[in-house]
Amino acid sequence: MIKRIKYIILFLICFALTACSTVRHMDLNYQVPTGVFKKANGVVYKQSFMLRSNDKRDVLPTQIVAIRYANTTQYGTFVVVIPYMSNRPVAEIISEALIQTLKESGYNVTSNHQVKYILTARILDINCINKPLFVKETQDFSIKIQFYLVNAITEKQVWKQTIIGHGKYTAFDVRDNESIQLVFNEALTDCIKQLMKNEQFNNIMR
Amino acid sequence: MKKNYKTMMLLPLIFVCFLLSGCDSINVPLNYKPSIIGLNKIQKSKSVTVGEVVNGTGNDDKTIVFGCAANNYIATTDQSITKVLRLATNKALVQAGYRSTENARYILQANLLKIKAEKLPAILFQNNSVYITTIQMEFSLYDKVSKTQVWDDVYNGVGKVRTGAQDGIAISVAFNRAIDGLLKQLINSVTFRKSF
Repeated sequence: MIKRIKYIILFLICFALTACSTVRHMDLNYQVPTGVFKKANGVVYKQSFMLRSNDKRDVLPTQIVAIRYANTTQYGTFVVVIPYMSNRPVAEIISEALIQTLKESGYNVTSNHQVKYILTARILDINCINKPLFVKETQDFSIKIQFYLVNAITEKQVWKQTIIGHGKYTAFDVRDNESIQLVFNEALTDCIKQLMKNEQFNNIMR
Repeated sequence: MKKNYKTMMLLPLIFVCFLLSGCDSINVPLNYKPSIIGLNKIQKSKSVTVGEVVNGTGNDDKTIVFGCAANNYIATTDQSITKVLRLATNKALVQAGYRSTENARYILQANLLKIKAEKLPAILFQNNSVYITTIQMEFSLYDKVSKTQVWDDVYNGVGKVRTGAQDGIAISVAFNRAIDGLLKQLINSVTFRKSF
């Protein structure tokens, strides 16, 4: 009798633990979309600047996002929160993406310490909401980054702006790593585009 | 025919009422009382003015987005969140030994960047749910004399509570804990202390 109870307890523990393996690891990279970032004709950005990034979210630096899913079974609806983890810190990926795209667009980004400005990208929030859309699901992804520009000589802040980039993806199943890669790419591209369209930022950089 | 038309008109109305019956309004009574433990007191008294807290969430000043069972609901507070945050910041600074005056050289300005609450369902053998409230705030210190920003940083406060109480009350308790955690980080920040 005691043996049976032991087996039942063991079975219950194993059953409970199957729901715990919910962390997803992925190799997140930013792929620069073709033809989006180009040098504008006749525009020269003379001012040199260095880029720094930091993650101000209250999560592990490698966590991309944590998504809340509702699983409906015959026993009821269960909510699971799945964190998607990257192999590298998210701030590092965003920093690399910014350097690459800004350089492609003609900005004078350098790693040299003798620069006039320091541009800091502060990651404030990365959020993803899954919404059911009839038989399909829509994934609403957003990246909130605060950019601020500091004069490297006077150490005075000359410009500051918070930008939210959005990415959307609709499919039958949006729970795979590929969809996260897609919406992350789209949201970050949107964010960088908004930064490059900012007139105040461009006026300082000219 | 007329009767059928009326029935057809009533059906969508009944359907909408049925949908709305599931969306109970969540009222959050805010009653913050400072209970921050582990604040490092400053050696020499410094004067500071606590400015208005700006709401940068994009939502109303009495709104908390409440995530529950894969859906987001709106929880409404009984008073302005930014006012509560300003009073809490003021009290925490005084508790740490700062002098809060209207005409100080330095002004501490705050921007509420994010506020959200979450309800995690009860797990096996536990009846009570876990409520998590997250607050993200940006603090900046301005020098009135040199007219420059001397310091700036972002802090996150997370408050957790496991309870079987009503959603609104549970969110309020977690909110108080989140403020305490956030302000403790601000007060104990070495860069903040050294900036003025």
